[in-house]
Amino acid sequence: MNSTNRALNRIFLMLTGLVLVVIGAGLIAVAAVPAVASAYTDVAPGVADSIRSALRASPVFDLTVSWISVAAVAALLLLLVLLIAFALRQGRGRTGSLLTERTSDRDETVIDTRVAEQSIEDALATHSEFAASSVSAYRIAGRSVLKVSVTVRRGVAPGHAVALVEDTLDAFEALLGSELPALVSVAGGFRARAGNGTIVN
Amino acid sequence: MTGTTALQRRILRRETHSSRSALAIGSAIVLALLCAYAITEFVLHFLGRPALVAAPVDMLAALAALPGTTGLLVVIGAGLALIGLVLVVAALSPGRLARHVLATRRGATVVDNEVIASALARSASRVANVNRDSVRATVSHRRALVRVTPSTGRPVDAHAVSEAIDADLAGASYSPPLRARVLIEREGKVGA
Repeated sequence: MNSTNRALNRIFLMLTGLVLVVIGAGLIAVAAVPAVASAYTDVAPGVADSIRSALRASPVFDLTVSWISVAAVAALLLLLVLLIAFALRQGRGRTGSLLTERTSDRDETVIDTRVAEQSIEDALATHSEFAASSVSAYRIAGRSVLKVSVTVRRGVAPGHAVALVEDTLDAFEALLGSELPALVSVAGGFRARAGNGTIVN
Repeated sequence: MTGTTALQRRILRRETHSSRSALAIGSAIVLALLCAYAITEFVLHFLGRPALVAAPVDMLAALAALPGTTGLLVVIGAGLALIGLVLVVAALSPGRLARHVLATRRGATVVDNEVIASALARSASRVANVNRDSVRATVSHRRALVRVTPSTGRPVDAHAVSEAIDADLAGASYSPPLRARVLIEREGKVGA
């Protein structure tokens, strides 16, 4: 339900994975394949030397620091910021206001998500089929969408549980006076297994 | 309000497939820590302070002299390649969650496989006339398996149980559809 960019997640995992596979395979080849190892020993010190001389040839501020290293630090810093932003961007999209309606030129009516949360959770709590319920709202494609997650007790038929939730949702829509797209999610879990089963026919 | 809209289809797809965010966040944090470490070493080097582990220049030298430490290198290489492979597989596999979509009046509903299994087990135990704990049901992507352990001396009508389970599944349209198999254990249980 959240606005996590899933394609980006997969692209990121793909790139990271491929880089790791290449580095890993490279290390194994250098260590275990004699031909690769000798080629590496032939070439690597020369490359390292040329990097060192490039560093020495590009001083900045004073003679000890190269601008190439400064650029490397800047690049690492940028990468660090991007990675943190990427990690923090996950799982957003919840909204605190369910409905905003302009009632006149100057007035606006805002219905808080907590209204839905409390009335739906209270209504569901009267049914013994449910061990727990939680209601949240997400902003998807410019619309508020409710998510009603219920934990049912052992043995409750999913269709029956969903019908109860949908009746509650219908009642809430009638109260609200407007249609509200909703996702119903039915879960089992520890609380469902630990509690006594209810007889439902 | 019957039929699924584009919005509902999108929601249902997202609710039945993993977002891979745990793995993505984990990898991003590890990479960020590596970046922070490298930056620290660079800055210490700039300030002329001693390095935490190795200064960037020393790392370069160590990298050039790699083939010296073969055994450890193979282990590290294999480890990195394995982690990389896990990430690639995670990136490409569908990442289906153990859930089914249930077609209902309003449209957007997902049900954990565990809940479906529990409901089937209840039906089976009622028809077979055994204790609830004598029925084990598991639901996977396309199959439901119900195992009934009869009470010793009281045979269970496998056909009746099958019919009850099939009726349950027919009464609720899951997607992907489930096919049930009922197994009556040969060994009964005393007093159950």
